[in-house]
Order: sequence, then structure tokens, then C-alpha cells
Amino acid sequence: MDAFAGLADGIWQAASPPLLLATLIGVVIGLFVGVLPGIGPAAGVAIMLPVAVGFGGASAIAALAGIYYGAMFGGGVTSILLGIPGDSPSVMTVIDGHALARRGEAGRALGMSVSASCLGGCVGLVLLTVLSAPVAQAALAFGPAEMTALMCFALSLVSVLGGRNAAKGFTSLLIGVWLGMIGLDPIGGATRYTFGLSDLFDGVDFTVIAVGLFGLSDIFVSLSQQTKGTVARLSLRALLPKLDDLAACRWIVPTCAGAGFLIGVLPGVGATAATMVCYAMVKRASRNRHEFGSGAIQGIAAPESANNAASYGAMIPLFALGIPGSATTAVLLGGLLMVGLQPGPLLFTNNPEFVWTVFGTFWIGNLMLVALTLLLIPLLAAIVFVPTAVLYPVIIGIVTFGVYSINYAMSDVAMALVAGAVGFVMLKLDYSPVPLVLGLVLGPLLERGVRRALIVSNGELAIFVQQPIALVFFLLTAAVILVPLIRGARAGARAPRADTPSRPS
Amino acid sequence: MMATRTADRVFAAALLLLGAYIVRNAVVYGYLRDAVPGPGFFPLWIGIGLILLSAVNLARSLLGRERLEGRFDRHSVVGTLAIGAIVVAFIVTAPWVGMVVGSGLLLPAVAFVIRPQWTARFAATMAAIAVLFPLLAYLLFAEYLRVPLVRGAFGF
Repeated sequence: MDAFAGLADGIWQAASPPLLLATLIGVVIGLFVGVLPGIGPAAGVAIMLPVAVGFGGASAIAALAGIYYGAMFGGGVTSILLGIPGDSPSVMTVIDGHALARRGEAGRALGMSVSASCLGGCVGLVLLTVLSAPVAQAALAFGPAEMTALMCFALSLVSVLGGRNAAKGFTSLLIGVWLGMIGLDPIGGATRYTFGLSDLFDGVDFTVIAVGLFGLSDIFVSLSQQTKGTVARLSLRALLPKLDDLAACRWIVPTCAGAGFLIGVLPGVGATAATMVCYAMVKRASRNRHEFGSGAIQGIAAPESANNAASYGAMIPLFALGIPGSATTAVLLGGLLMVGLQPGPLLFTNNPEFVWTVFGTFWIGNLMLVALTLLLIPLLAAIVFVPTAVLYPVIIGIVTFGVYSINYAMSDVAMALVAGAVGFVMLKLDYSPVPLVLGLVLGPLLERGVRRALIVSNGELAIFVQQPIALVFFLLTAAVILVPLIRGARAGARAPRADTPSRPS
Repeated sequence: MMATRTADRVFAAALLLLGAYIVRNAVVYGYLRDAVPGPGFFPLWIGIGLILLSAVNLARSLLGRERLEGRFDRHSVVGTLAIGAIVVAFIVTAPWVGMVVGSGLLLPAVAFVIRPQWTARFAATMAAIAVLFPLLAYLLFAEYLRVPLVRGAFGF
């Protein structure tokens, strides 16, 4: 109960005008950063770091963290309306969110995005309050073998995300994993597959590829289609989530928020992986899985609740252990150090009021975002009325500037263009781009896990099954791959029996 | 234009070659170093996997197990290539023209690819966008976000 007393005091402190203003500035910029394709939360927090540090103490961290979770809300808006992920954790929202927008149900999709984000965020905040200390300890138990097992489990979900053709789905996955290997070898330091280009030494940026694959390729594909003006209802009422939709997602939101939170706690995994895992889990569990990809409301609720909860989960290793689990929390760590605080277990002992005040700003910021997003969405949703001959050039312009802003490199713009062209071909040939993105994100983590585990064990493969957590994840992986195969084999075995009587006739 | 089925085979064959390239380089990087996995360890398995899966995809297409209907239509292919060429021109000319001014040319050019027939109203809309977009992009990226945009002969 100490945690809730601390939180109540923290919320009271967070309601003071200077902290309210700092939180408001942070979440507005975060929304804006999330909406802009290419600029992710890490870049947004980094850009604002020098300014926010000037606010001092808890205000600085409230503003910087506001950018982080604000971007999670904003990313969904462009994903749904334009089919371009505003940032990497909103990639999965594109799949069903944009499909709904194309059907003229942008308001419904946005309403679910906002409510799932808010509810997912609330679940994440409750878990953050209650589980800070114990979950941080559990995350420490994840060594290379456990990380490898977790990555294998996540990658095995390609059988769900890979589309109609499993072989093409896994091919797409391997291309993504290979793209993730481009650049400096994370362990040995040697350069791999850079084609002698120094721009590739730092690797292929996930956001660049995602913007090209999902945004530009969509434009290229639609050049051949008769584009009809979508009809969207822009009233506040249309943006409020429907009771039926909320009922359909009543278990999905808390479950994905919980899973997203736990994945967010794991260093180096992050919100993007959380959205992918949760989307795949929900699709697999759904009775109407054929609707996923063509506008299933659950396909929005799952990633949006997961990425918001994951953003709060990522705060646990940062605050409790001083370990940044992602690029964004690494910048936040820099912010904490710049305001004179050393994150780690002693932060909770020596500065509990600071920790709880910052956590209090998270609650207030989460509520602010609901109001802000609902207020701003009608303006943003007007995009769907703009003719494609006007909209697409503007999108390409925004993508060009946004992608350039990631690393200040024109080569990234060229890479996004190539990714767009490849995505266009892949879509035409029935290769799903989703596994490619999954491979690009999780491949490097898997490689690091496998190699570190084998280095630790002197090449003994037994290390992967000696740890209980790793064993559980490997068994889950086997189940995910084998269950559909067994079901398919059974269905195949039944089919001839059903046909047998009709054959003689 | 090319039938989707033929393109599927060409794509699978290209991925098979990519797999071979990955394997060849993985061997060069080194599968093992000091008896532990080296930089080529992971790429080798990825390359082998890509070769096998591409071979499966190619075989399925050749044996008629994978039936893709339709063709790559001229409009989308030519449009994609034209937009690609315009963006490449934007990238190449940026050091002289600058990103801000270049975007004022990029947008109408892309619009022309999407809609070749311009009415007076559409031309006026595009002219307004060609002026407003660079201005807003400059204010947002260069002034507000402090992104060091590529500047041209005009100084911005």
C-alpha cells in the first residue's frame, strides 16, 4: 500500500502548475512527434533534451517522458489515416487501422486507438506502481539464453503474421533478419554486408525501412487503383469508441497491456516487439482471424494498448536499475543525469518523492492525451477528404524530410525509396512485409542472444534448455509452429475420408 | 507488362542468388572465431534458410502450386518509376538547390505523375502547396526541430 500512498502524493504534486505545464508541453510535442513519419520518440526526446533540462528536476523528466508516451498516442493517428507508421511502435496499427479508414471508418478506428491507448496506458501505470521492484528483479534473470528463447518465440509468430503463404512469410522474415545484420557486427566489430558504403556502417534504420515498406509502397500500389474518396465522420461522437467495439476488446486491452508491459520491461526488446507479439497473439486466439488485415477492430486495440503499456514498462529498468532498455530510455537516462539524479535502486530510497511525482505526471499526462487527441483528431482526420493527387505528393514531401531528420542523411531517403519499391513488388507477389519488419527488429536481438549464450557456454547448445524460463519459451515456440502443422495434417487426413463416398459416383 | 507469375519466379530466383551471396560472405567473415561463433555464424544460417525457402517458392511457382493472377499494370509501374526518379533527382540536386527549394519542385512533379491532366483549380492548389510546403517544412524542421537541412545556392 506504500506504493499507492506514494503515488497519491505524487499525483498531488504533479497537479502543481509548473509540472502540469511541463507535462502538457511534453505530451503535445510527443503527439506531434508521433504523427510525423520518420521522427520517432527517441529523436523527439533527444531534440527536446537541452530545452527540457532547463525546466529542472521533475519538470524536466515529466516533459521528456511525456514526449515518449505522447508519441505512442500520435503514432496511431498517421498509421490509421495515411497508412504510414508515425513511429516504429505503431507499425502494427497500420494493418487494420488503415484498412478501416479506407472503408470510411476512420473515426471508429481512431476512437478505438485512443481508448485502447488510454486504457492500455492506465493498466501499464497500475502495473508500474505495483510491480516496479519485483519485475525489475525478474528482468535481471533474463540472460542470453532466455533472450534467445523469447526472440525465437516472437519470430515463430511469423506463421500467424506471414500471410497466406507460410514459405513466403518466412522468406520475408529472413530478408528482414539479414537487413538487421548489415553494419558493424555487434560482438566482434567487423563490418558486414555494407557494400563498401560508410552510410551502412551503423546498420539499416528500422524506421527508414518501415516508412518505405508501409508508406511509400502503399502509394505505389494505389497508383494502379481507382482511388475513391473515403467518407469519414469527424464529429466527436464518431470518434468515441462504440460499446460493441469495447465489448469485443474487453479482454484484449488488459491482456495486451499486461503482455506489452512485461515485454517493455525487458531491456532491448521494447514497444515495437510488444505490439508485434500482442497482435499475433490476438490474431491466433481470435475466432475471426480471417478479418485481421482487412479492418479488425481487435487489430487496433492489441498493438495500441501494448505499445502504451510497454512505454511505461520500459521505465522500470530505467528508474529501478539505471538500465535503459531502448534508445528513448537511454536519452531519458541522460536527462536524469543532467538534472543531477542517478537512477538505480538508491533513487527509490533517497528520492522517493521525485520518483512518485514523475509517476504522478504519467497519470495526468495519460489523461491529457485522451483530451488532446480527441480534440486534434478532427483536424487530422480531414486528411482523408484530400484528393490523392494532392495528398500523396505532400506525404512524399513529409516522408522525405522526416526520414532525412532521423540521421541527417540523404542516403536514408534513398533507402526508404528502395524499401518502398521493394514493398510494392512484395505486395504484388504476395510476400507480406510484416515478417520483414519483425525480422529487422528482432533479428539482431536474436543473433546477440545466440552468440552471447554460446560464448558463455563455450559452444554448448545445452545452455538453451537448462534455464527454466528459456525452456518454457522454447516449448511455446514449438507449440506455435507445430500446432498449425498438426491441425493441417489432421484436416488433410479427414478430407479424403469425406471425399471417399463420392469418388465412385 | 510482365505477368505476376513470371515476376514471382524472377523474384524467387533473385532471392536465391541473394541467399548465395549471404552464405559466400558469411564464410569470408568467419563461422567460428576462437571456437566461439564468429561474425559469419548467424548470416550463414540465414543465407542457407533463404536459399532453401527461395528454392521452395520457385519450385511451387514452376509446379503451379502458387498461382498468382494478373499482371504488373503499366500505370503503377511507370508511376512508381517516375516518382522514384523524381525523388532521386531531389536527392541528387539537393546540394545545389537545397532541400527547402527542392521540395517546392518535388511536390508538383509528383502530383503531375499522379494526375497528368491539370485543371486551373488544381494548378492553383498545387502552386499554393509548392509555396506553403517548403515554408512550413523550413519552419518546422530547420527552425523548430533544429534539423540541419541540406542547403543550396539560395542559402536555405
